[in-house]
Amino acid sequence: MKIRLNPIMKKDIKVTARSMKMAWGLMAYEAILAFMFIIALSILSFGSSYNYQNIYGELISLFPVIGVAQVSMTALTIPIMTASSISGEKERQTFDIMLTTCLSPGAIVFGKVISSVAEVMLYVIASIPIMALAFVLGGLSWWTLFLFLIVIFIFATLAGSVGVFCSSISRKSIVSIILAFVVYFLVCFLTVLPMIITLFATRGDVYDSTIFLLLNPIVFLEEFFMLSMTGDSLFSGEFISDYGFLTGLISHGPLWCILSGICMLGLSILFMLLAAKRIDPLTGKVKKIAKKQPIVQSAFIPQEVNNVNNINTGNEVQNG
Amino acid sequence: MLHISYLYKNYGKFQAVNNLTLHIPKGDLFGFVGPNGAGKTTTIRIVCGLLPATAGSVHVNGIDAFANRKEIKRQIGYVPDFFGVYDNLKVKEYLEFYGSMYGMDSSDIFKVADDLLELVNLQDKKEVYVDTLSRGMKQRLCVARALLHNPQLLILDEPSSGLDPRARVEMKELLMNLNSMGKTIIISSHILSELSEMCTSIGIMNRGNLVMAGKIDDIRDHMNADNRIILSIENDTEKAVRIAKEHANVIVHSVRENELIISHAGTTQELNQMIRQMMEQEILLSGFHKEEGNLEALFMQLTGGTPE
Repeated sequence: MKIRLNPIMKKDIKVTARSMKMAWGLMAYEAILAFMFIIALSILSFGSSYNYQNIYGELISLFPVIGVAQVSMTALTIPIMTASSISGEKERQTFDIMLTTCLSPGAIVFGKVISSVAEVMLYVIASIPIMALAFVLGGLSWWTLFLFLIVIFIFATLAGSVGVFCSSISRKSIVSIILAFVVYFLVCFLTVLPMIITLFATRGDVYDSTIFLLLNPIVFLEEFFMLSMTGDSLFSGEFISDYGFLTGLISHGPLWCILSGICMLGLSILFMLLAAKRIDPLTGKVKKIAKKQPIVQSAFIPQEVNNVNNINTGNEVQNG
Repeated sequence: MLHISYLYKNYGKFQAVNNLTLHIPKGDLFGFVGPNGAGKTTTIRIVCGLLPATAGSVHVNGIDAFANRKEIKRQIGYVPDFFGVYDNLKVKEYLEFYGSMYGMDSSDIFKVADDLLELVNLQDKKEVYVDTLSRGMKQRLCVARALLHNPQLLILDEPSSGLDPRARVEMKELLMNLNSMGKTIIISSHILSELSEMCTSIGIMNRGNLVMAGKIDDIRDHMNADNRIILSIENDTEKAVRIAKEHANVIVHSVRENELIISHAGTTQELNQMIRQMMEQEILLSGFHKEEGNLEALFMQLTGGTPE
């Protein structure tokens, strides 16, 4: 069976890879990451003397620092990249042509999200040598690095789908970018809100309002880093303790991270569907009119264009 | 080929298209003409599936355009009034991209693309980046792009806007060539002279209404049948008008400084008599000729404006 790649994704990756923006972006990304690594290393090693016993702990601590730096940069760049994906096509006046092809609005949106995720994944994969410094002495496994890539992929997909959704709403790229950050903030805030309300209402207990945290990308990342670094969790008792039965069932071990990842992919699909619906030009129903007399009756009686149909002067048309 | 029935498009209270019914047979080169804001582009966008209609129906090749959107997209090739090209792509990559959006295989695309580039006279530009092409070349590339999936109906919205005279001629020749190959073509324009040279039929739209449609030759014949006569008068036009009005079969259409336009439904003898009467009453007639069917004049009459 022949696998057919999404044409939008293929084209976008090709066009992006050819632009100097990509090269400069990659360089800036790696430079910032390397700079942060050096700063973090300097802070961690300040006043400590390395020996075979403490070097593991010092270098392993760099993993969340670099990881969070990567996630932060992804969180900043993806909305910018994707927010202009649809609006950019509209500005370039290529969007209408795209809609006249056989590609469905859903496939267009999916292509746009995946191409931006692919670009971000390229940045992340290119930064593996810097990341590898935290792994060099075997403090963290390659499996953790692989999981980190999956986490970044999920995070980028959510951020990308939010960006494309905002891009489908607005005609201007700059408005889309601002809107994407607002929507992203709302996703983070609204998923914490039930917990805050319950906390204040019950004066201490959060019950199962924490379930909404499954959709919170910040909690998702936090859980991943805590789990991979210390095996600890936000729900281990130190931070959130009086949670409900359902939360208790899923908050131990990697289950929370897996469910959270699935929920965020679901949320991404929801944003993509909304974007697809938004860009679909024919969402409304068209009324069928069985037969109705033309309003300008004297000017034109509809017939096949074989003969001249009642040619009249402008005045006669208006009078008719 | 294209069958539009009782089509309406409203934007709030504004009626952009008002009860439009039009049938365009297969193999026609149909010119959609009208002033800006007449509803041509709105109609085209509805046919292409880019805009929902308020009411009515559109059938292409017997297929309901609103119910079978995917099938309709295979039937139509659309060239908008802007270029819509990606600057970072080469000409062949541009065609490959759009071909793949129609579900074509790369090998098929390249085979078809070679033929199309030859057709639009861009065969030597295959490896060239699109942004280096001239406006005329970009427009021809857009036509090649619209033909990639071998549509039965080609719709072009203002294809000559922004093109220099040479590029316009090339575009016209290309479209006539495609029409001779059996493609049904619809061209929207507000430049009537351009359409009258190449179209087999035209439809004139004004304020959302189709005010006239027909074969271009029939329209010309019809206008000539109106039997309009232009009299060039050097001295007393008012007196000439008075004499003309005394004759029962003569209708005075317009009076300019030295020109009187009449139409005559009577016999040649009656007309001779009127002329003789004018000359006897010392009216200096310096010219006397039949008005040729002028599409631009007709356009002006129908739309109440000035053709460009």
